[in-house]
Amino acid sequence: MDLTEHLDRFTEKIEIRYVAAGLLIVIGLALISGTQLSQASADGDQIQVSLTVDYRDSIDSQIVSVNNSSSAFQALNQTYDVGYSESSYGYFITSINGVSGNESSYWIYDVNGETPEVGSGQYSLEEDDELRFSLMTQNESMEATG
Amino acid sequence: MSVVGGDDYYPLSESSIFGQSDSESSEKISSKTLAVTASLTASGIIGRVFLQHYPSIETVLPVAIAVGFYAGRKQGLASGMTGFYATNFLVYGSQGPWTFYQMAGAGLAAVAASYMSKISSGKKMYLVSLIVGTAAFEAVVNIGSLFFSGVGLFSTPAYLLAAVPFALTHLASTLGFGVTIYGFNRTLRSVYRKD
Repeated sequence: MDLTEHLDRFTEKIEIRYVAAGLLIVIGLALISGTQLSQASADGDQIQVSLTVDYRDSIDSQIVSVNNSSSAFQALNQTYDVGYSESSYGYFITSINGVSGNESSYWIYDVNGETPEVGSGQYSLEEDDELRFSLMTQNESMEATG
Repeated sequence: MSVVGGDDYYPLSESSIFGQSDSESSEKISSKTLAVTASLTASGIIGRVFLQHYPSIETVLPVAIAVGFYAGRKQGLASGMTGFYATNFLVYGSQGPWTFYQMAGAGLAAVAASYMSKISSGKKMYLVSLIVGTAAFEAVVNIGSLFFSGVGLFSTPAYLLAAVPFALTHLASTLGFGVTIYGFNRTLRSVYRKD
């Protein structure tokens, strides 16, 4: 008996309706599971943080969606018109929406009420962080940063 | 004991269910039978690795139950235990304390299927063995995982409750693959007919 005959005998015995029904169940499950996975993945890529900008004479606050682990600077830069310079210490914010610091006031940021020890470009945001950029005088900034 | 009901059933004694069958105790397993069991187990292994990103959808358990049902407890036990041990080298999460419980769960499911096939070797009993086997596997793995997860006594009900959706998905997956394997029922019966 050659291979073709073996194959013919093998395929004759297969009950296609069971194979098809079983595979339909599995494909259906995989589709549902795959949809849930991609949805969870999409949700997991974005986080929401509260972003407040204190211009001294007015405050602007909003909830923004950013990519997971975005830096504080990225959250600000994607939401407002930000002027900045780069140095070896990271980003130095010179203006937000056209409001600039000067020789005696600077843009200082804090997260959840505390001033991080790293620059805004290095601080990775987490879900529900409260990010705040404030225009402060040198004395105020020294008090805020301790 | 006599079990009668439809053409799937035939009278049996308790000793013929729980005792060691002649084919398993004294006769050697033929190379042809072993080759088919190995091929089925390998299919289960490849399937689990391929489907590793789909939670609770896997192929090792349905293959182990089918081998237990058609070939008997020794080959079913070997297929289930080997399947989980081998695949854990190849899937995310790798080996861990869970491997032991997965092997034990799959082994128990295969042995249960083997005994159930002695009550009836029909389609209904095959489906029941898939359900019972998955339930046994889930019970062993979930209760076993309590020991290494550090879950406290008060959190245990919530922990087990959280596992229910995954267990149901696993049940549906095992039924799906199990029914697919049943499509090869006549082939498997002719292969595993007493050597």
